[in-house]
Amino acid sequence: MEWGFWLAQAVSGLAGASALFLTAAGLTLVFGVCRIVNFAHGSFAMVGAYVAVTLLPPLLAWSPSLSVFLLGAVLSALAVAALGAAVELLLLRRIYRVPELFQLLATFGLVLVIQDGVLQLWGPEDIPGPRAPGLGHGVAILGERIPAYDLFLIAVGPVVLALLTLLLRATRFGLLIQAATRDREMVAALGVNQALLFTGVFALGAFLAGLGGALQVPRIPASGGMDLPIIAEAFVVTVVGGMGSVPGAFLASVLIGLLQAFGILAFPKITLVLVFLVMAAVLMLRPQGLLGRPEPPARGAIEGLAALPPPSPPLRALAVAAILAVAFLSDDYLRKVATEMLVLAIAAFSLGFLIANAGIVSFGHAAFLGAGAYAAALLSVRAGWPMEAALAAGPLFAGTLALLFGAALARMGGIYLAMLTLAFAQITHAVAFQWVELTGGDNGIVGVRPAWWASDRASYLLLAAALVLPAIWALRRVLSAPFGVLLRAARDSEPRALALGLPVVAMRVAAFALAGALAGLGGAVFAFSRGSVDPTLLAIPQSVDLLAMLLLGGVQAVAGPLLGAVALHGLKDAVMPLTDLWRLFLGLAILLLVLAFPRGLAGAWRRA
Amino acid sequence: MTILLVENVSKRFGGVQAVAGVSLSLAPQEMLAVIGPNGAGKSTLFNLIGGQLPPDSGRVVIAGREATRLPVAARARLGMGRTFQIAETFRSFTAQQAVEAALLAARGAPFRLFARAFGPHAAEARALLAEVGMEEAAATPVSTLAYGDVKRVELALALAAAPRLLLMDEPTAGMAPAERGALMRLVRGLARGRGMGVLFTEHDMDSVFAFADRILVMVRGAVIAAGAPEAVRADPAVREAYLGKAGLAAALRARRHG
Ligand SMILES: Nc1ncnc2c1ncn2[C@@H]1O[C@H](COP(=O)(O)OP(=O)(O)OP(=O)(O)O)[C@@H](O)[C@H]1O
Ligand SMILES: [Mg+2]
Repeated sequence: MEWGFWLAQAVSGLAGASALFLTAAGLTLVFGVCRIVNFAHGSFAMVGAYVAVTLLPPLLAWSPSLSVFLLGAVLSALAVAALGAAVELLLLRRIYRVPELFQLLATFGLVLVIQDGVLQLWGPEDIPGPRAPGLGHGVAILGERIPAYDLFLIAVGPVVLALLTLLLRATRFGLLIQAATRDREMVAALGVNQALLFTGVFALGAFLAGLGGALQVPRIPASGGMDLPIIAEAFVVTVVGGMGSVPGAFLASVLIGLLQAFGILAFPKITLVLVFLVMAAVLMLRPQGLLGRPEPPARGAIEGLAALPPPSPPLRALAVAAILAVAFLSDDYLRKVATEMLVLAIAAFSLGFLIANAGIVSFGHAAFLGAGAYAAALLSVRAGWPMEAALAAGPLFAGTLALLFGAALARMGGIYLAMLTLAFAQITHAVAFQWVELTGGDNGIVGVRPAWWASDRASYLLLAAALVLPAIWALRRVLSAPFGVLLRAARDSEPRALALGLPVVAMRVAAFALAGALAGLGGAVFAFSRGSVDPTLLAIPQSVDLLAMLLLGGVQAVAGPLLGAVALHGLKDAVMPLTDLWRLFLGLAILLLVLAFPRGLAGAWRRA
Repeated sequence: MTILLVENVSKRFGGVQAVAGVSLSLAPQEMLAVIGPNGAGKSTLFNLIGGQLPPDSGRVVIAGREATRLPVAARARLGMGRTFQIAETFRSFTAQQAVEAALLAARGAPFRLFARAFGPHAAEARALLAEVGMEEAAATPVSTLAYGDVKRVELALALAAAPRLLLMDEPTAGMAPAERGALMRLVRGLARGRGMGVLFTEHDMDSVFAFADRILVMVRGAVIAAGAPEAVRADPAVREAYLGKAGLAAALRARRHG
């Protein structure tokens, strides 16, 4: 390989890093001041891209010059800033005091709403952006043709960093941002108009995200699926850089950008895995991130849900009776639905266990559901394993994956862990999507057949019940065993648990592995029921469905997550045929739930 | 014989030197009080000893073992227990369950998946609650207890591990005067009976002078006086520190009103 080739890789990586930095800087500023992790920040970048591809062509037709191009990009970013201000005023302002879990969920509701909004306004097709006038050509360096626009983007990063630094150091607004990031109470006590400060910062953050999205359009078309990959990368960058630190975000985005560009050479299919490994390594050495302050806000557990209650015998009989009735008295359609409900139930239960008892909020639990499904499907179809062995391998693989993830990152705790679970799930999804030779890419793996003795729907339902129900009951036993009880104790008070000598981090890792394995069992059962697996199974929306089930069903009642699974499934079946706006509907429902019951639903939630 | 040895520990937060070169030692059975005005650095000192914060410099030795860099849980296994200025308890449990959980934690085996958690230590938990005067509230959720009661449950949680060294940061805050004496008497009884060393802070001077064997006075991070209660009471530097503060407060009041 030649020098020119390496240079081209580096330029491409750094150009991507610039756009990523803009978005991540906005996220980190907002978190520093408002202490809210905005899951919709990637959606803002996406809106910026869409506004830019709409605004730029007429502007450039009027006057094709670079300055008009830049003007268009800034106008797009301003439109996003206005959207951000509106979101802050209408939504976030009301939820600064609710438990973190609900804040995260509310901003996720926003992600869903914006996804459908963008789909309605701009349609499902990707829209390529215009080229930047004067920068459409390639520059020959070391015999390699380097896009001029990439070179321009590389310059944008440091320029924006310099402007932001100036803003933070030399303006009153900037000094207030810095002061609030260091000590919020102090700024409030000094009589600063906090409401205005928060709105301003949020608008600034949205502006940066919008600019990041708008400036990308000459390289990458605007598309409806870009929000989640962007937010996942931005999460990694802000956590690695140090939450609240703008220079940290710059450093981390350059690191991640280069890693992706050069990782392609070493591990073409799994660059993202490399990113993840580097992130884990950085965080092991410096939990506060590269330039984060040494003592990050220590929040070991996220509050929000009451702990799952211990098991209750009568319901077991009821569940068994219901399954038998469906297996012997109904038709194949209902048997299939019942099997899938069992799958969702164990996935939701295991997630409920993590959230409510361990205080670990995972926005990527579907990654383990999917990992179990893929492991079982691959072993069955590609390696020819018998169904029984493949079913056993699913939870083992998912549990191991969860163990590795937990061991790398469980020390982070709280909100950081929630962000990293999302990033991790996004990476898992990308691997399933991109590693076409192994996973079949978008099409997934088809032809996953059960063994002869379980090949009719009734037998398979009975098999699924025989696997899933005991697993759920075993998990419920764990809740009232020393492990479950002490996990909950550590959720209530990490300082107390540590002062009593409990290995809190190791316990959380074990909880993560256990929950991952159980979700993986569900996934393996699912693979043979559906007959195929594809990447949607481990995509973020699937993870959100699981969270929505918990939100709908609550975890206070023994059957809560199960009822939630039934309710969500039913709702989807009822709503989807009527309208395409399922995500809008779900997103609004989540927002309404959080706004209407900031202290929780029907006593199912703990103190605010 | 010392259960705790602290040598010259310091901690700075930005511009604030919260703890400035503090040394102390504590013997089994001894009750050592750290007093000082608000912001003197008492809680920070406790957090340096307890492992909640790393010191910038200095050394902490617990039961003869170098512990300066040990994590909190490892210090607990050396026999250190503590209570916090703002009580740290298990809010989603009843008082009885919380103490049972603490006993489980202290006995190890946190990874047992199928044994019963509640029950095996019930009698012991009840006895501990009775010791801190909370047997009546055994079935009450910790989240609904009055603050003084929460502090007593917290003490029971700390005692569940049978510590040889107990740190208590303002143990009687939020209690009625009569209850304070009872609680401190209990702790002194345990110190003498079990040979436990106790390091505590208190704003209630009656408790301090009645129960401390020795007193350490901190002002702005540094120790300005140490010794037996009577000697400390008579120390002019201590008088000045407290009176000086009172004088300053009076001056501020005068200025605000004038
Ligand atoms: N985590 C922290 N970050 C920054 N400053 C801190 C931190 N903890 C304590 N301080 C500062 O260090 C100094 C000592 O605080 P500390 O809480 O140790 O005092 P204290 O003697 O326990 O006071 P009190 O009697 O009010 O409990 C104070 O100025 C305080 O503001
Ligand atoms: Mg204190």
